[in-house]
Amino acid sequence: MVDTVKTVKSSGGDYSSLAAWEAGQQKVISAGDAEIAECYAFSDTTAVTIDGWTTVATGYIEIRVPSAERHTGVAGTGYRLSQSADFTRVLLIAEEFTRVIGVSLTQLNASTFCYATYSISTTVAATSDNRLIDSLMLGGFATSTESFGIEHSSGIFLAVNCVVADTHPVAAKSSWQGSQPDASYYNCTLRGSTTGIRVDSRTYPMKNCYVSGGTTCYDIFSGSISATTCQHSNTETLAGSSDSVAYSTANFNNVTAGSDDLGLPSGSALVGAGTDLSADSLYPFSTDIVGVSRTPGWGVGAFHRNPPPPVTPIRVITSGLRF
Amino acid sequence: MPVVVMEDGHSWGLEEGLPKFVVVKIPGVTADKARSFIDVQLTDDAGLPSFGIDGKRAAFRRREWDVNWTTLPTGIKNTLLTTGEVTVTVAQIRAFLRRVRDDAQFTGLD
Repeated sequence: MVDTVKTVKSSGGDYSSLAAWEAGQQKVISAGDAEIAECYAFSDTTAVTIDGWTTVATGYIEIRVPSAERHTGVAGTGYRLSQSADFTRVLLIAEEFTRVIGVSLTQLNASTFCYATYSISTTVAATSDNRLIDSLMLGGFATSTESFGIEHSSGIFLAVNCVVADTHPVAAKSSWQGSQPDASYYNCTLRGSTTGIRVDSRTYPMKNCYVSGGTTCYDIFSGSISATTCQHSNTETLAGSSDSVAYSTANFNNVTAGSDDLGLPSGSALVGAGTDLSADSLYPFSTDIVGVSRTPGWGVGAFHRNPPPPVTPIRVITSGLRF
Repeated sequence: MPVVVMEDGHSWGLEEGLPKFVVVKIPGVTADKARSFIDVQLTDDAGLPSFGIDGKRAAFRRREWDVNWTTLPTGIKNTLLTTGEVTVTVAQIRAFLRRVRDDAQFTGLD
């Protein structure tokens, strides 16, 4: 087993952009090997397409950000990738086996030609395993019909501890295009200015997710969502998801587009309301988007906050004391 | 294939040179101005918009433009092959920046 690790840094690394790493390292990856881009904190401004490699289930591409170099859950921190051209995804995955961990992606294009932020191509085969972990999808353009935070068009996809915020009309979309996609969303906070998540086929497990849309939280065109201890902002009815949990500062630190901080304030309805996934059969994990332990009191959404400690009853004796 | 565009004085990575890459330096041209040189090709080779199977615009080719290596002057080629970088003016390089599909000249640096 050979893990090839190359650093991506603003200076002094192997590469100075993720796009150059992708072009320079592109190869056939053997089973048991991993090709890893280790990205350090800086602003990287060239869109990246992962394409032309050969990957297998145990021979995959990993784009990861070390803990000390990661975003802190808000824009402008850690390693961050953005782009501004028309019709261009910030990070386009056109390979079957990739893992993206701890990145902050921002779509800066503000035209009606604004496209997705993180995208899995329609060309990805049904037999695949693309993962997006601990990552932020920001930006987008409120009136572009193709501005998705997460655009999952084919193959098998897993999102864990991810945030979509700002102005994407649709926070996440899993569609029937391509090779019949399957998606699982665990502990994600998905905020779309129009729609939270749009589903065009199949049945998608969602666990501990918070979903908010300006108009619709769950837009299920075809297929269904299997929700476990999820929450959503509107009054729609979906089994396994509690309705009317407001997308407001009662439940999140800051919900102003562009300044979003979807950490949980004291008293948030998301605190302690989730299901413990530390022994989940698909993807067991135990930390939140910024590495905070999720125990005690596993919550909903990408950020964790410990529930308040139980109140210890204080016995007040009003009589019978003698001095 | 052009990969990235950076400002003058950029600190390149250890692997961003020969044998994988060469650097063409054009002092005085801002990265913003040159950025369209790394646009993806969003048309087919007949110049018609390209679409994915989902009906959305999609890249036909990863880059619309490149440097025409075959017509590049021998002196520039030799410098690139031996040192991995060359410094040129817009006037010196303009004629060798072409659109892949039809050889049209790139004028974005003018």
